[in-house]
Parts: sequence; C-alpha cells; structure tokens
Amino acid sequence: MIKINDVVKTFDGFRALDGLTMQVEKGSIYGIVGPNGAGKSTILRHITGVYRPDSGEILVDGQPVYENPEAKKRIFSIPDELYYFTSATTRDMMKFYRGFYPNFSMERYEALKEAFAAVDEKHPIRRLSKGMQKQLAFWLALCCQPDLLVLDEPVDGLDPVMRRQVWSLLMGDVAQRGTTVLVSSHNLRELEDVCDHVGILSKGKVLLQRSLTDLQDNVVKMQVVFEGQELPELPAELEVLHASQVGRVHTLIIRGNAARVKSQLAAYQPLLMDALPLTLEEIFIYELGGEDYEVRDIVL
Amino acid sequence: MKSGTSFFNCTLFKKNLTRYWPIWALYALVWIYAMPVRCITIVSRNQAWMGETPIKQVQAFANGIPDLLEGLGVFMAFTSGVLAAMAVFSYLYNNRAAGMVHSLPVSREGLFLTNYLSGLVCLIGPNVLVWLLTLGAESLCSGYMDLYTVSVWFAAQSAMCIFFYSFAVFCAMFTGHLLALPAFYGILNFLAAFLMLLFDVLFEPFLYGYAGMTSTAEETVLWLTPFVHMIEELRWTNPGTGYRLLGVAELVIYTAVGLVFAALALLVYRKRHIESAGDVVAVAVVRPVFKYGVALCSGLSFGYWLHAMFGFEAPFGLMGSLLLWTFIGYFAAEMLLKKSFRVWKAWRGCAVLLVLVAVGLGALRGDAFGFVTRVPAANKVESVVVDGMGSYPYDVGRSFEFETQDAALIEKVIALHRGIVAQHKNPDSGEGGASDYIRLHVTYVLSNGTTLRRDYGTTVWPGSKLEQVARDFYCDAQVAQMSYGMDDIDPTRLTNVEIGSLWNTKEKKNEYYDLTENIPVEERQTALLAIYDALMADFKQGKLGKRYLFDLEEERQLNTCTTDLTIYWNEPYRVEATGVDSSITRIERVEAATSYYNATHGKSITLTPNAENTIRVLTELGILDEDTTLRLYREIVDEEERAKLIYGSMGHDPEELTSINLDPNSAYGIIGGADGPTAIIRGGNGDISASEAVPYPVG
Repeated sequence: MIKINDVVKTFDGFRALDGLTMQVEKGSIYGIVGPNGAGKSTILRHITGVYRPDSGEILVDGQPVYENPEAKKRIFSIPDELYYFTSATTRDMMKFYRGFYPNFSMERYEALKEAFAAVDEKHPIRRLSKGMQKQLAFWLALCCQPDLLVLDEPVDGLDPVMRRQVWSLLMGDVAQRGTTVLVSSHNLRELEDVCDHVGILSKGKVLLQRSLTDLQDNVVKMQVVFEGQELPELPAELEVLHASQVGRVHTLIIRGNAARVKSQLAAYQPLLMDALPLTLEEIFIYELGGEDYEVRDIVL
Repeated sequence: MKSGTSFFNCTLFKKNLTRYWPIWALYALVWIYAMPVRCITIVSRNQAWMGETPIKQVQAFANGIPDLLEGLGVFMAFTSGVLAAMAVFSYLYNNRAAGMVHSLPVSREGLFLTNYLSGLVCLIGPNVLVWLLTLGAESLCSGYMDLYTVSVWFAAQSAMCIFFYSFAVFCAMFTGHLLALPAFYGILNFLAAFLMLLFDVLFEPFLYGYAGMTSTAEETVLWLTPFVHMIEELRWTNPGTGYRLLGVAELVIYTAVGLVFAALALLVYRKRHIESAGDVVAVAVVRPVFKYGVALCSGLSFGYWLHAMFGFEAPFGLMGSLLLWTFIGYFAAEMLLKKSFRVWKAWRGCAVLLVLVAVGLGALRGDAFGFVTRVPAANKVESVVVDGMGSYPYDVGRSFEFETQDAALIEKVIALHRGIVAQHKNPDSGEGGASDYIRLHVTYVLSNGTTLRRDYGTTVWPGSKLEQVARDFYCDAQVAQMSYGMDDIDPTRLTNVEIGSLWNTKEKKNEYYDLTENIPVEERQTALLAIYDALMADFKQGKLGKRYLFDLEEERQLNTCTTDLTIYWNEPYRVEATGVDSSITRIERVEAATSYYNATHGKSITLTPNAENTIRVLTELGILDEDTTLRLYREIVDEEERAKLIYGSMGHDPEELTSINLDPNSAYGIIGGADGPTAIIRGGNGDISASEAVPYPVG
C-alpha cells in the first residue's frame, strides 16, 4: 500500500528524516513508534502529501502522493492537532469534506450519529471539548471511507469507552473494506492490541519494522537462576539487550527465538529458566536502549 | 458537491465566500451608499426644493460617479485587495490549517485558483451588484439610466481591484505570517517612491551638484507606485468631444501586470514549503533579500531621520547615523527571520554589510565615480537646458529658463559649470567684498542620446576665478534677451502698465503709478502701445536689459534705477470643463468647454537712466516730470539711506538714527537709535532684513 524509499527531509539544517525507508502492506494496521523527535509526525505529513521531501519517494499504491489529488482522495488524515474552521459546526465540516471525498457516505454519517452521540452536530466545534473534537474527526474520517487512514496520536483525549468504540469501528473497516491504517502513538499498550505491524523510528530512520508477531517472537525475556550468584560468560551470538539481577534471579532480554535462546542457555545448566513474552513497550525500550536512548538512572 | 476539474473546487470556493462574507459585504456597502443610495437621496432632496427635473438630477449625479474613482475607488481597491488576499490565503499562515488544507485531495493549482477566484469574486461581485443597483436607482428616480458612466466606473474599479488584489496575493506567497502580508504589501506599494525621496535627500550632501532624479526615473517610480499613479492619472474630463476617463491606458497596463503577478504567485505557491507557516519570510531564497533590504532601508530612512533630528554634521555625522541604523535594521530583520532575540551569531553578515555601506558612502563622498567633477566636453553636447537665477537688477531678467543649441552659449555654460565645480573644490573668496549668490540648473543633451543634469547654488566673490565665467554667462546679452523674453508680449492685447518706486522729489518718497487709473479708456491703448514700442526700442538698442553680476557693483549702481515698470497683456486659452456642475446638463458642459478664457501675464523691467525712448514716452504721457523722476540705484545704496530704510521698516523714526557702522564687506553691521534700541543688519546679496537685538548703547 505504502512504499517509502530513502526519504530525506531537512528543516533549517536539522535532518528530520534521514533516508527513511518503510513499507506498509495493504489492509494492515501499522503502528509507528519512536522517541520524541524521531520523525513520526514528519513522515505522516509526507504520506498525506502535505510536505514535499528533499529527496526520496513516497508511493501509495504505486503512485506518488505529493500533488496527486487522485491518490489523496483515498487518504484521510487525523493529525495530532486538529483544525476546523472558526465558527463551523459538525454539519458544516461534513458538507466541506463531502465536497472533496468522492466516497463520502451520508448513510454512514447518519448511522454514526449514534456512536458519537455526545457531539452535537449543530454546535460550533470550537465550543466542543478536545475529546469531542477528536470524536468528530473520527466520525468524518469514517464517513469519507478512505483506503488509507493516517492517524497521529488518535486516541489522545478520548475516554476509555470511546477509545474502544473508535478502535472497534476502525477495525471493522479494516476487516470489511480492507482499509489500511497507519497510526502513530506513544500509547504502546493500546497499539499492541490493534496493530499487526510495527515500525520503530529513531533519528529519522526506521530502526526496525516487522509484524508484531515476528517482533515479539524475535525478542524474549528469560528469567534464569544459576548455581553461582554471578552470571556466567555468555557467548557473543547470544545478543543480550538488557541484563538485570534481583537476588539470584537474572532477567535477560535476548534477541532471538525463544526456543533457540533456551537451548543456548541450557548449556549453562541453570537451576531455573523461564521464557516470558515481551510487551511492545518493553521491546521499544530495549531496542532503543541499543540506540543510546535508554532509561537512565538519574539521582536528583 | 463533488469537485469538478482538478483546477477548481466548488466546495472550497463556496466555503470562502460564506466564511469571508464581511469583506465583500463591507466593500459592497460602501459603494452602495456612495452610488445608488446617494442617487436616490440627491434626487429626492433636490426635487423637493430645487424644482429640477429628475432626469437632470440623475444626469448630474451620474456624471459625478467616475470622479469617485481617483479617491475612494483607489483607496477601496487598495485596502480591500489586501484584505481579500489575507482572508482567502490565511490558511497558509497557520500550521494546522495549512496541514489540513494541503492534505485535501486538491492540487496546489486547484487550491490557488479556487482561492484566488473566490477573493476576486469578493471584489468584482459587489462591483456588479453596485452597477446593477445604481442603474436601477437611476431608472427608479427618473426613468433614465446613464449606462455609460456607470459602466466606466465598473470597468475602472474592477481593473484596479484586479491589480491590487493580485499584487496582494503575490505578496501573500512570500510570507508565512498573516500580519507580515499587509506590511509587505504596503511597503512594496510605496517602496520606490520612498527610496526616491531618500536618495534625493541623501545624495545631496555627498554629491555636489546632484539634481535629483531624472524625469525618466520619476516616471518609473510613479509606475512603481500604483496607488499614487492611479490617483494622479484617473480623471473624468470633457476635452470638448464628450466626457471620457483619462488614465485608461494605465488601468489596462496595471490590470495586465496584475494578472502577471497572479501567475507568478502560482509559480511561487507551487514551490512553497507548507512548513513555512508562521515564518515572516516563507521562501528561503528571499530571506537574504529581506534581511539586507530591511537593513539598508532602515539605515537610509532612520539614519537620515536621526541626522535630521539631531543635526549631525553632514557628511560624516550622516554617515555615522546611516551605519548605526543599518546595524540595527540588520539584527531586527534577523530577529524576525529567526523568531528569536538571540541572533548575534549573524554578526559576520552585518559586518560585511557595514563595510560595504561604509565603502559605498566613502566612494560617494570621495567622488569615486567622478560625478562631482564631470563636465561634458562642448563637442559632445547637442543642446543644453538651463534655468537659474543670478544677476541684477531685480526684475524679470533675474531668473531664466531656456534651451539652446548655440555653440558659443553652450561653451559659456560649460565654462561656468567648470568654474562652479572648481569653486567647490577650492573655495576662492577673491578680493573679499560683497558677494552674491547664483543658482544654476543645467541639463545637457549629449550626442550619445543621454542627458547630464546638475543643480548648483553657490556664492560668487569679486575677484574670484568664478567671477569671470559667471559674468560671461549671467550678463550675456543673449541670455538676458531670453530671460526678459520681450517677444512673449502680444502688443495687440496690452492691458496695463504699472510703475513702482517713482521718486517724488518734493515729498521725498516713492510713488506708484497705474496707467488704467490715470489714462482715460479711449487713450489707453495708444499709451500702452507707445510704452511698448519704446521699451522694445530700448531693448534693441541695449539701453534696457543689461545685467550685472553683483548687486553693489559700481556700474550697476550708476546705470540702473530703483524704478520698475511692469507691462501686462492677456493671453487666451481654452479651458477643459472638469468637475461636477450640478446646475447644467452634460450638453451644456460640452458647449462650455469650447469657450475661451483670458490669462493675464506681466513682465517687470527695471528702468535705466539710458532708456531714452521709454523715458521720453513716459514724459510725454505725464508720468515723469520734474516732480516725479527716476532714481538711480546708487542713491539708495548709500549706507545711511539703507540704514534709514531698515530702521524705518522696524517701525522707528528714520530721522532718529544717529550712528551707522556697516561693514561694507558683508552687509552686516550695527546701527543705533538716539536712545536705543539697535538693529543688527544681516544678509548680503541685496536682501536686507533686520531684527531687533539687545539694547546697545549709542555713542
């Protein structure tokens, strides 16, 4: 669905995207995660055709997206900071988007009133709360029926019930219409529930990107107890991302398949060995630890 | 509604018109009041008490409509144009708005064209409405519609709207800050005129002889200042063949230029980075232009202001002011660009600029370009236009303006030019004594088609090197002949002769004579013609019209009188009927335009004791006799006489004057009354002025 090849973007000398390359499969829910300033919002704005890259290409279904209205008709974006016309109501914005998106569905609009009942469609949007404005954004996005939905911090401001409601609706579209969803968020626990693919960005590059299953399969948390107090010398091919110890229990985050890692550690005859799956948040933290972006122990 | 073509979006277009309705509504309201409402008001009010027919009222009103163009029309187009541009392109100045709009499935061309047209409709649409309403009001009031004048207004007003709006859109593409747009727009609209004024005042202290911008440069500046240009050019006038609008060619050109600006704006928009929203200058290549432009303009304008406010000595004080404000302007611009006060890292660029400015000013001061010393060779000059002032006596011959191709005269002009330049470089006060002041403005037309203009005012000292060349020119008989221009007088249309400062020998005072008050009507023309013939004869014989370089030189004192004779004549000219005359119809105004009016002209000539023919005729007419005579200038040059004149002009009794101490070299001195007060006489060059000073003991 989306192919991003070696995109570079500089703002006043600062290289926000540094040869970023990424692929998003059609029909997937792709999560973009990364530390602050990694370039997440920047690449999303490139995908929606707002920014022009200094070099590289961004293709949606094989077509360049920048200055391509035909491609953009199939893309809808909900940015982190929403914009509505001053004094516009929900109906005003509905009419506005209806004029741009050929797939806009009035039936959906009417049907979704029930889902977003808290939003009064005749009330000026500027008087709605942040959460209600976010709900409105989803309401309009779903009505536009895009093939690609780009979301930047989408559920920020939504209450837990509305979050589930929104995700439910989105995933319904993914299942029924094959909508591709590209979402950037710091709420990794939530992303873990919805995404099937993840890309981790750091310093304007993609650090890694794979399916969530592969990602989780590729890193394992081992809790091991050896006879001695100290951790034995482990072989170099065992890529230990993180090691910690509480008493005699060693907790090791190791890149690799759980079965392989187990068999390698078994050679050291641990007294106790257990493999635990990592959460996306833990994967994020430990992968970026290798990029010199780890949690630091700072004493104030 | 679905979008149509990729270059226009109906939804966005309609949205703009509904969102920004205050702009077109306010614009329409102003014109609705100025035109249809006024029409109804005028007709109903006039009909009530003046008894004029409605058709006449409407015709008179309609004829005043195009007059609105040069004032209200230009102002409305100028202000509404930028407001409309600010509105429809406001999304470019807000990050969130820019992101939302540019994520829509519309190309940049589509966005630009849709927004541009919606802004234009905000202006042209009300023009159409006002056009219709005005015709409707005219018809309602009188059954008559003046389609021509209302349509002239519509076309001209719409043309101005297209230009100013398109230019504002062009400016909008270069900034990412909403408030910077009207600032850029206003500045660029008047920048050329502003710079011309600045250069004119700044070059003068550095370039001796600088004569201001050439007419070509002034014309160019006028074209680059459309607001002023349109106000000056748009005229509703009747040259005799019916009312028409002057300035149509300018309107057409500006409209075309406006459309070019719109096209250029599109090109810039296509390249513009959306992330520039919020930046004062949105286009990277323009940022240095902005920075150095602001620095230089700041230096020139505020530098001159500082110099003028505090009277710093020119040129070095002025140079210091210019450099100081260039420095300030540079960092102010840098702060705007970087949106931060911490911009000192950019000091290198400032240093380079200051050095360049200092070098430039130094080059001007040192005449590195040879401006001051440039005097064309005589064989390179095809003709010369000279105007200026100098020489005595104080009559019409003192100032002159003529063009000549005479080789000998051109040589004299060039010699004088060289002399003035030499005097400036090496001041020469000659033998001292009473100096005089000469002015000279010269324009050489060179054989290569170019012109060279210089403007001088300088002091001439007796015995200086400048004196001879100045005398050769200012006292030249040919120059005098052209200065007096006696051939301008039409002897068939003489109207009067007045003579000032005739001396009454008995009462010891000056008298004034007016021929029309003393000669019966039936004898007047004969008398006037006799005086005219006598004057012309004396001029021909060289007994009148001789010029002297110094006011106090001996020959001047002995050969000119204090008496001035002024001869008047009429010249007819045809008047174009302009303006609104609400009491007559257009047909009557057309007829009135073909009538002629008389303009009265006069020439004042200082009489001389040698003007035999004139003196004879004046004697025959009884104007001169033994009681009423001419008086030599020498007689009032006498110190005491002059002092008495001054003392008397201060309101004191001249006979109470007891002491005189005039410095003959400077016409400066102190005179004392019997019991004070004193007077300090200042001013040479024959100009005597007096001011009361502190009491000075007589003795």
